Amino acid sequence: MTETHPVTATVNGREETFEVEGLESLMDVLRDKLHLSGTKEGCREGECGACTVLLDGKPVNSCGYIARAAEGREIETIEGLNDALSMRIKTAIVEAGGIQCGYCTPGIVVMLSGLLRRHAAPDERLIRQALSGNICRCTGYAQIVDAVLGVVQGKAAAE
Amino acid sequence: MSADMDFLSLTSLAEALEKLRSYGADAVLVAGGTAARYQLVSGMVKAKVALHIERIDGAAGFSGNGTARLGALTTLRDIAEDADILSRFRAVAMAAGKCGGWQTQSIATAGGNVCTAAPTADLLPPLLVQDAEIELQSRARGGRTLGLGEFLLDAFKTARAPDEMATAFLLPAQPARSADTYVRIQRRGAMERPIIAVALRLAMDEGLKNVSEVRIAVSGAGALPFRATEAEALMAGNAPGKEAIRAAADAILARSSFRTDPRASASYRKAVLPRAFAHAVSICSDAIAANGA
Ligand SMILES: Cc1cc2nc3c(=O)[nH]c(=O)nc-3n(C[C@H](O)[C@H](O)[C@H](O)COP(=O)(O)OP(=O)(O)OC[C@H]3O[C@@H](n4cnc5c(N)ncnc54)[C@H](O)[C@@H]3O)c2cc1C
Ligand code: FES
Ligand code: FES
Repeated sequence: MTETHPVTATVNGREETFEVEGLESLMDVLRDKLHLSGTKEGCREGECGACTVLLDGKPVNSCGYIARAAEGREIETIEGLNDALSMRIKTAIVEAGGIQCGYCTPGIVVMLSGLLRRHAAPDERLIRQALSGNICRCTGYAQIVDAVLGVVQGKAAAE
Repeated sequence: MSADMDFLSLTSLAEALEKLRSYGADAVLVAGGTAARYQLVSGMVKAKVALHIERIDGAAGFSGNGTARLGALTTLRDIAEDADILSRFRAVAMAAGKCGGWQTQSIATAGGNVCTAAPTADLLPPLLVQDAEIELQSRARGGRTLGLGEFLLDAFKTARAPDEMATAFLLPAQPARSADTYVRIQRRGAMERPIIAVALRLAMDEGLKNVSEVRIAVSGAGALPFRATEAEALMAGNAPGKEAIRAAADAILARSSFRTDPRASASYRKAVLPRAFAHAVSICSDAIAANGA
């Protein structure tokens, strides 16, 4: 049998300990061991962004991240993103028609939460740059970009 | 199988150098792991133990007036967004922002980019035109610095000794009336390796008429990115007009060897390199003129 190693990390605000093999990816641990299947598997090579999670607040492709490197760190998945900003992003994407099949959506919401935490008021160029690692086969991105611009303007108006 | 290897997370440089001393060639360093995990899982690189250096204290960041110091563990996203790097070494920031998506750049490091020595590694051309040095440290011999050109031996081969870790890059200050840029030819706007890339650093004389010094590095035209020194010598002292650009481009082509791969044919690379170079010259000339005005 393959040897496993315990890893302890904070996942969505809760301390979790899980057993990890060798260079197993964080994505496989989240989906198969913690049953957080909102993190989607697309390419397994860092190209599609479906598996995006926040690691200490930064967007990372969990398919390429060594789970053992996450020891002691803070991981946020789509299931845990229920703060006010993330909720505004989700609502705006739904209202703008930014979802069709939905497979890319969790990764996109996580990426956008990471973006808006780092840059409170990104312009369209920065939003498109930030989304360049998230592939959506359905929407054509325009509605998603509109949704983010709406969140940014709404935020500006509220302040 | 290498995927069953030991994995040690380290928090200090001293600890990392000590482990490197005891494991030597049996160890592989893992920073962001964006290249290393693939190399290990695929068996391309074999090792008994992975030394995880991503969270070592004090090895990230950009500092220094005059000669600047870029910590090896600085992430590519931090480099792409650093206002100081953008104003002083623009091409370095531009190149960092082109490596994969933000999800890759958030954890990928400068040290990992350079030490992989991949033929298309984006930080290599802009660091080469700055005459950057790499600082290597080992427990047994302390620190040493090497010019990047001496450090890079061949595709995926460097002069790093098995017990050494790269800790920083040193970038001398740019001269007055100079500008640098990075022109990267790619099929899509993002998420692509370059087909051809040119980094250029241009400095003009006091009248802003003639080139006082130019440095040119290209990738996609040989096993590794290289400095086109013959072309540099041809341009120095002349006005950066059409003729000088054409002569320099010919000198770059004379040093180049092109490959056909799924991204582009050799003949396309050969045809596009002179245009990428001319574009880089005009970007830098315009920037210098705008600053001088
Ligand atoms: C989807 C995707 C797209 C990518 N696109 C690009 C691209 O467009 N352009 C590009 O240039 N790269 C690209 N890369 C490759 C890679 O992400 C970069 O080269 C990155 O900078 C590597 O940094 P890292 O910290 O992840 O290195 P790691 O993967 O941790 O290490 C890479 C290598 O360097 C060694 N190493 C790391 N740090 C040190 C150190 N401090 N001292 C000595 N040796 C060290 C490791 O042992 C290993 O051999 C891409 C990768 C992915 C997954
Ligand atoms: S599954 Fe991770 S980037 Fe595609
Ligand atoms: S909605 Fe289908 S991939 Fe984006």
